[in-house]
Amino acid sequence: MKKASIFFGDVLNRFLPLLLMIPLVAFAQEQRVVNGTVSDAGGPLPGVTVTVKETKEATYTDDNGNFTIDASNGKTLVFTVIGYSTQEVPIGSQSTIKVLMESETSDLNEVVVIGYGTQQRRDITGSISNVDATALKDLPVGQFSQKLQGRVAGVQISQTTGRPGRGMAVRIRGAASLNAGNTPLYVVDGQPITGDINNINPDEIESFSVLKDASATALYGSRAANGVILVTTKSGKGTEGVTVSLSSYGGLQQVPQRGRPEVMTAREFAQWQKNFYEDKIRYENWVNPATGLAEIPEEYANPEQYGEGTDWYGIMLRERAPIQNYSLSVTANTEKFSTAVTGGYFNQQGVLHNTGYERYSFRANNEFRPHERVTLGFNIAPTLQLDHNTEINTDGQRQIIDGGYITSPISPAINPDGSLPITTNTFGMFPNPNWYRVLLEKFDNLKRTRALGNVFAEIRIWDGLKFKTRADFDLESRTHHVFASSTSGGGLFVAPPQPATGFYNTRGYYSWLNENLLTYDKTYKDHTFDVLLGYTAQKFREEFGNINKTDFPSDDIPWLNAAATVTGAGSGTAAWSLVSLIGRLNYSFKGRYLLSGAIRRDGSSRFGSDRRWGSFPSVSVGWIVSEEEFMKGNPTFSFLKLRGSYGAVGNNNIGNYRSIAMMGGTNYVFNSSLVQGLSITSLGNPLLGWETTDQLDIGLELGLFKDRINIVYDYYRKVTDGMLYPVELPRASGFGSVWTNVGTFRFWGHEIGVSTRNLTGELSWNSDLNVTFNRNKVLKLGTNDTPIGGYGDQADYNRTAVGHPIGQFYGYVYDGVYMTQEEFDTQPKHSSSQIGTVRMKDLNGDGVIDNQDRTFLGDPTPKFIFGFNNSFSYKKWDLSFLIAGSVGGKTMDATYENVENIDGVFNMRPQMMNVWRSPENPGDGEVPRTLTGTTALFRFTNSRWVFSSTYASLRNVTLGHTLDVQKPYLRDIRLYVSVQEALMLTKYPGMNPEVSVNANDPLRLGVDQTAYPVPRTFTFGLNVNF
Amino acid sequence: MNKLIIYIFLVMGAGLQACDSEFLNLTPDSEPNANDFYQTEQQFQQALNGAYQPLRSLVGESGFLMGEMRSDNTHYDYYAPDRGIHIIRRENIDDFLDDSQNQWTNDYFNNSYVGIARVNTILSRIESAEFSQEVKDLIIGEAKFLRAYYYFNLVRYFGGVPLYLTEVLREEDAFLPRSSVDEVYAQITADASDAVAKLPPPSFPQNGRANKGSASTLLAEVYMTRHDFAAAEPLLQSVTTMGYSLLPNYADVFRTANKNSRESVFEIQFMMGDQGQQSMFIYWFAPKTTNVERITGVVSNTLNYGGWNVPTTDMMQAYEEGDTRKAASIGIAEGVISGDGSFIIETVKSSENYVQPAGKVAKPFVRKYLNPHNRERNTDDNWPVYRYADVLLLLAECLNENGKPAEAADLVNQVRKRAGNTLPLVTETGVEALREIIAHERRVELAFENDRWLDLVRTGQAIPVMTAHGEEMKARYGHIADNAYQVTENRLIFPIPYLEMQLNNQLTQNPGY
Repeated sequence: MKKASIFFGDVLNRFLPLLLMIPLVAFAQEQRVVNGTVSDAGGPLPGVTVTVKETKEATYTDDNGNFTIDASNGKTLVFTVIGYSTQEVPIGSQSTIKVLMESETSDLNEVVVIGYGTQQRRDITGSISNVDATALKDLPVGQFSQKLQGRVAGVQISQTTGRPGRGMAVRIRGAASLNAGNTPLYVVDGQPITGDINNINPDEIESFSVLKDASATALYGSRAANGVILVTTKSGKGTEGVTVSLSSYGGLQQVPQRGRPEVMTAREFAQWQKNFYEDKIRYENWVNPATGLAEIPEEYANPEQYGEGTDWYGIMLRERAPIQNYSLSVTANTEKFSTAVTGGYFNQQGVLHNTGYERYSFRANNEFRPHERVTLGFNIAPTLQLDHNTEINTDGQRQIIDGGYITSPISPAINPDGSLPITTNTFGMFPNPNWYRVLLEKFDNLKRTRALGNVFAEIRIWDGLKFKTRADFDLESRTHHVFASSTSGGGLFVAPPQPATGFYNTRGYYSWLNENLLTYDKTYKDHTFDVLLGYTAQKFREEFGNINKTDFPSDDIPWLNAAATVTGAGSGTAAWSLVSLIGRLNYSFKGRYLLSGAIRRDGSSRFGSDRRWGSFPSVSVGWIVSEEEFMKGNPTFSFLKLRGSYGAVGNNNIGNYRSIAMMGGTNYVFNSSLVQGLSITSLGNPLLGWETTDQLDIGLELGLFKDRINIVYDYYRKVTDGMLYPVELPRASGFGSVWTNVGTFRFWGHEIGVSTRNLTGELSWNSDLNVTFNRNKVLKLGTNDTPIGGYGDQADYNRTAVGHPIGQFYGYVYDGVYMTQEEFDTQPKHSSSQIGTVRMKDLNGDGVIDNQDRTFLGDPTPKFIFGFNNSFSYKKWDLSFLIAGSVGGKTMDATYENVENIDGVFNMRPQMMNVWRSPENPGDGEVPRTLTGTTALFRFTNSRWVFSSTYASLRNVTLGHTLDVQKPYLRDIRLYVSVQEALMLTKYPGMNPEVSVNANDPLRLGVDQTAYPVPRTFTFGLNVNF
Repeated sequence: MNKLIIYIFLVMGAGLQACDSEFLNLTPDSEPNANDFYQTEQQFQQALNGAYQPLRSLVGESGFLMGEMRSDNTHYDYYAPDRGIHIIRRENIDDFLDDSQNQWTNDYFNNSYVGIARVNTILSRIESAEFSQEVKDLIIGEAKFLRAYYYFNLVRYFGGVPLYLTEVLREEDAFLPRSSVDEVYAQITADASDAVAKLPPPSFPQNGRANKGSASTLLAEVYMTRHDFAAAEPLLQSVTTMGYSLLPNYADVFRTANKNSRESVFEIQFMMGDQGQQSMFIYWFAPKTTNVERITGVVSNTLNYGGWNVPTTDMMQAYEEGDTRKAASIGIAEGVISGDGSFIIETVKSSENYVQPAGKVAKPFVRKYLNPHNRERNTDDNWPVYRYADVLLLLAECLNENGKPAEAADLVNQVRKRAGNTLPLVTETGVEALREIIAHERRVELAFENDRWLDLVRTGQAIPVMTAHGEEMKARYGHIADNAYQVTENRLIFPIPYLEMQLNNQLTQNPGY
């Protein structure tokens, strides 16, 4: 207990001065006394300024809304408090005055959820964007992050793949870390969540708060560097009586035509192959190894016999895939308790055959108020998620969708008799599975059961002083069951039939969190304080197991019981823990000078023993200029606030035990039997710590013309230091890397949000525009500043180097074809160059084209992104549409590595028809010849594959109608129709300009290696309130 | 009440804080970590087992690419459709077109050092452990054998490499400059000599560990590579007294039933099954085909794996009439090219006196490592490093160089008698002529055991032999580039890996790369 006493002293030393700063009692004055009570619709209103208009004598109401003031008859009392219209009451003969304050409708008085509490919007000094979920309720999407797309300045949300239930990449202020990811911390009803949060039914959500700057996030300390998204679920509070509401929609999804792979038809492909073998015979003395004769292979000899052939991509798609959602909510609210219960079912069938996602969700939030000082809460949200074939089979190189690009169009996907071929290759190509059959047969089921819950008790100790303790849990169990039948296993090169294989992996975790918070609010004269002290502890443990088997007797039973041979099995566990102290002071003087300071001190098991604890402080100030006398009544400026913040936050997202030298099994054999071997497989680093981001934010909030126009502007600048990264070591050390704090990145940018109420009459029209500029630069990397990535000629597309933005594309600069002998003779060459082969630029001017001639080819990060939402309402009709877009980014279409492979092994883009064949027949000057040994360079990463990813998308259009229902049990019915992903305007040739095969790796963004298409969705929705 | 709450609050906090160090000090439960290891004899034995394990990666694909395909013994089965860079880089080694980004030579470099690091950790920590010196000496002896062997390969393939001799504990320890070739050899000689001193002679049946016989052979080969035949001779003579002998039948040497036999001096251990200890040599060496079961007996497809280390015509012709080693070492897959251009095996035939029928395609393949197994790419074959025939031929070479050609011829004849009873015995006594005879005998006796390239370099024959071979290959195959087979002094060693050069600015690249 020695530690305990130290801690006790520590707390006193640290926090007592803060406590002492808080004046505890307000004394009233003597003389002719006027008493009264101020209240609003919800009850007594504390903190209201009561001023005698004539004498400027002033006081404040106490926690019960009571005030006492000296005044004489005939004078006038003025009642002011932020968020309410000012009231004037003449003092008559009455000795007790009752005043009912009416709230102003301004958004500025809206209570916003912030870290560990709430605050009125006008008092916030950090950069926080709040989104009310009711505005998003009609969007027919299963993931809440899809709903936020394009709505929040500073937040880039990309749908990198259309796999149902997946693929949303969320980045706040361009957050990126070398290895610790870029995903923000999600906090649901105060509970920091481990892992993803797609389990949450969007219909359960009441609001989102996106915390962007250090002052807003500092209370999340070592987990806050990527920003924080607070999700608040419906509580029932503030509703009236019992309400029942049903919201449902159903729709159909389709894959748009735009961006589908443009590859050759069967006839074109056969013609190409014919040319290919003609050239082989001409230049390489080629003979058909099957016949020993120099003649065109039979399959390609008569291209005219073929028509369109197989549209491999098209055949995998469902014409119309259904999507449906049902949520039933009940809320109840009385003096003693409030409750909100939501049950939901969501089912999204994939636009690829045999894929889909289902979610069953339930949430009950209950709050009881057994005593005026005591509040108890019990919240629980269990969910079941079922993913079918969306986990591993579809996206990326050599997977099913890729197969849709490169398979021979001559091969049928379906035989004339309706059966499905097992393999699909034509002469000279790799043995290929029938990808359509693979799609239909392969079995990949992921089942996740998750439960989030918490209980809390909040006690009001005395006026303004509250203690809250809460216990949270988050647990999940998942099973992943995969079976590849003998006719769907294998892959490119290794066509089926293959022995059937299956695996069954399980993973489960539980995490508990205990938080103890002491808060004190006090208004004294012109001073308003709000103090928070807290202590939290969290522990996470996971366990996992796997079993892989083969030798199935047949393809009929996919369960591993049927299989004879275990090819792999194992189990393991991992844990982390976190202990934290938090403190915050919000102070406001005269309601217009705002100051806020926050600190979190974290101890984390993930860091080295020598750097276990870290502190993350922040401070912010705000000045509501419009409250100053000289601005009052200004007809133009209805609101003006300046704010600034500075602070430090951290990132601990590095996995567990990284500081410890780990040993791995390195078994060997003696005497023809296994002997256990153990070796150090990774170096330890006791100095390993979190990475720190120092962030400056300067913001301006402006309301014009009675808040008809609201503008929020923020500039931020952050420097991330000590980035966690496995620094590569010379392999001669015996190790590949060691986890170290290296690297410094700088991020900066501007965010602008403009909300306008354009029309307010019977026809109303509101607009919201947000524009975000994010920039970054690498200032320092590991040993010798060695760049990360971009070494390989292939499949290593991005390079992160000092002096450049993160994750630039890196490769050769394509420069056409050596069209003539003269060009070939006079120009720099690669070791494989010949007349007619591809020419890359000799950037270092040494006359030789080699690996040294590669350079930066473009930045996947856009210059700016924007969202523009408009909503109209007229009588019972409403219409809204959202346009979102991104300008100035680049995407590397790495599918070109395949569809411009001119070795005759894949189907290709039709342009490949223009190969150089001879000086007399040189093609279009863009496509090289097919001579053996010369084609690889054309397949090395080069500028030809880099495209602008600028786009503007009409994300959503919704038209709604509310029916007036005059029934006692029915309040209203709302019907709507909506189109999601209605229109995409882009020059990007692929399906999806937001695509990124490595969406969670900030250093390797923007690479397209085929992804599940994002569908266009037409829905019809019905919301009923009883 | 207020005070009570504050008190409760602080006590709760204090309580948790009290067990802070315990609460935050988490070590992995399901994997061992180094802080709790390297204390007991058993743990050092396990660490030593771990130091043997990287030997396997040296006889993975890099081993035959660098040891055989680089030489005139083998080539590759050119597969036009698959031009993946990993394929091209394998071919580049064969064609002398490799550069510092070649993943296969780089793997060899990196994997050797993984083994060295494991040895260094053992040697750095064993002195402070508490168990008997006798046991420690055995562990040290084996560890030093391994380190000597790893560095011997490195110096022969890459020249003077950085000499890591103690455990790398932190980032700063990881950066060393190259040492000279002489410095590396001095360390190898010291380690191998210590291993010879500390290790016991072999006891039969053998278990697969290094012993005095393997260490002596290694040290002798080191001396011979340095042309110190006088130092090598007594070491090899001592090996001939340790109880080794040739098996009666050449083909039996490679049967998995005869692992670690009396002929085995050192071999790298594998075991088929589900414990991850298997080999798959035959799947690399079989032709690229969709029905490799004709060779292996197990249904599989080698389009992705096979077609490497294919015996050259020159190699096939190197066997004399009546040499049983040809059929034991090389098989012929006979078949046809199917409609889609891929090779289908119809029958597997002996290479002895093979005549290719009209209309058939014949692909020779290395069959030394073909033994019964029941799962694809999961075989039981060990890889021979030193065997007694090798010792006899090394000793013959020493004796010849040391002016004792008659004794040398006797040893060569021991090997030849086993190879075929119709083979004429060697009677040559001229040093020059006998040198060539011994070299040829090594080529056929040790074919496809990753010795050929190193033998060519050691004996100074690499440039003339490979230049001539290159001409022949270019004439034979249209797919070999014009600039292939430029065999110069620079090409006798491989480049330091590109990434290594990028990461460690103290390194210099080998000339010509």
